[in-house]
Amino acid sequence: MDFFKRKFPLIVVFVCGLMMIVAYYVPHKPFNQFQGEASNWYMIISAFALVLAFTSLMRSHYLKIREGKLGWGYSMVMFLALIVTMVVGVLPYDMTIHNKHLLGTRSGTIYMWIFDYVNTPAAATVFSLLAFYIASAAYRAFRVRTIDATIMLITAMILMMGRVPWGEMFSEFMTKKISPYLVFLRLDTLTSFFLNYPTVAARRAVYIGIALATVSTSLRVILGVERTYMGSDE
Amino acid sequence: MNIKIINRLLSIDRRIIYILVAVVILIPIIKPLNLPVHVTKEVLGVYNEIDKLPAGSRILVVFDYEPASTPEMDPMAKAVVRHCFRKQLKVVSISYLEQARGNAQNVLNFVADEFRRQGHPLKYGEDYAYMGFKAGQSAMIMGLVHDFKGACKRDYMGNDVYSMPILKGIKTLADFPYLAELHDDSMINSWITYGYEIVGIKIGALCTAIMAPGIYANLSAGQLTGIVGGLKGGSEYEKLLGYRGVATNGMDSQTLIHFLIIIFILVGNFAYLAKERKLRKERLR
Repeated sequence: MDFFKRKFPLIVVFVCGLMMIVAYYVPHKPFNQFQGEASNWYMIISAFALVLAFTSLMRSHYLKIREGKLGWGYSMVMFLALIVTMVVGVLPYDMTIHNKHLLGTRSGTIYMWIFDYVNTPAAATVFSLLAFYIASAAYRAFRVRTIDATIMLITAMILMMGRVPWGEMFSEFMTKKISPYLVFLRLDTLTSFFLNYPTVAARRAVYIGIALATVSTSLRVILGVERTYMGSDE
Repeated sequence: MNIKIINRLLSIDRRIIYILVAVVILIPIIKPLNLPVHVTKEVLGVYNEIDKLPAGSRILVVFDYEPASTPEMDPMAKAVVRHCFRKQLKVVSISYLEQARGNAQNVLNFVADEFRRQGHPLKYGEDYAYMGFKAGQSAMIMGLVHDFKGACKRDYMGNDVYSMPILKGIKTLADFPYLAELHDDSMINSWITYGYEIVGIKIGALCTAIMAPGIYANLSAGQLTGIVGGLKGGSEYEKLLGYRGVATNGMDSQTLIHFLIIIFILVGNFAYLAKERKLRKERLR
């Protein structure tokens, strides 16, 4: 039993990890087929993870309703929304109601009506609230306390102005009406400079760091040094 | 400046800020400003690649944005699909985000119906097709790289992909001359890693404004042909196609709100610095 609990997972991870590395670099049979098969296995396993997430969510909200905790009404709404969406989405499209195709997930069904008129407006509204919070934070919290903050503020203002039509119109006015030698101060030119040079440099540094950390962590997992996926006993 | 005025400026009720934001956004919707749009080379990078494809070419359009990003992404998605249909390209679509499926269906059906009303008999399965949501993300992309039809198997309506005319001759991802990825997350990295780096497919990134700065490094490295970022990118694409759509009209509101935020920052910092100066003077006394 100890072999299946401790050693077998390590062997599976090692073999699968090694095969995926080989499959990436060797384009010939049977290795190129392994990647396609692995993606099918991955989809089946992730379906199990979905079942686990679903039961965990249901249990959490059921306990909230049963114990009458604060906000249990919202849990009832969650259950109702879940059951209705699941039923109308899972039932086959060919099953008609009064000779109309209302079930399934294609266009014109109840499921897509829920998506178009409930899910999309609600999600977009919540996301749109960010505009108000950003405006409030810009006024109340964005302070030039240090040199770094001042540089960031000036850069942010240049980028905000450079990415909108008024900023481009102002740049045109500067170079055509005032002096053509001010072309290096054009807001769109400065915006392009900031996006193509400092941002790219910083981003590349982050990518290299992420890549090195990923390689390191992956090797640790494949070689069995990192075993957190096996549970709290390890 | 009077310390009372400074304190009032620093402690202004946030509801006043929210009302100002709402008013500034609403004004251009009621009375459009019709501001001009200037096209950047990043958007041209995507437009030109699609424009030079010969009629009848297959193009892969990936829908990977959630409903929360619909107002920002839908205008550019419709613009790209319109461009493809105008050039008589065959649009093959797919999604790796479960919630993107609704957006993909809406955009494709909307633009296809628009072209049918104009007298172009577009047919599903021949001129455009949607493979549906495919789980697995990076693993699925690897599957597409080696066997496109084997990885897809069926489209979103359950049709067998092996018998679809639009996919005739398509074996792997390399058989597509171009990929337009509409995303609001970091899926573009997987497409670059497994698509561009393995089979060399040309990729155009169409993303939210917040994601765009992060992928300039990929553009600079030649892994992307161009970036269409946010509502601004969408408005530039609409200008290239010769019409003023939702993105272009939305830029009026975006212009005003950007300037309002700049004013907020300047006023807030002016009041803060004035207060600091006053406090320093009182300490020296």
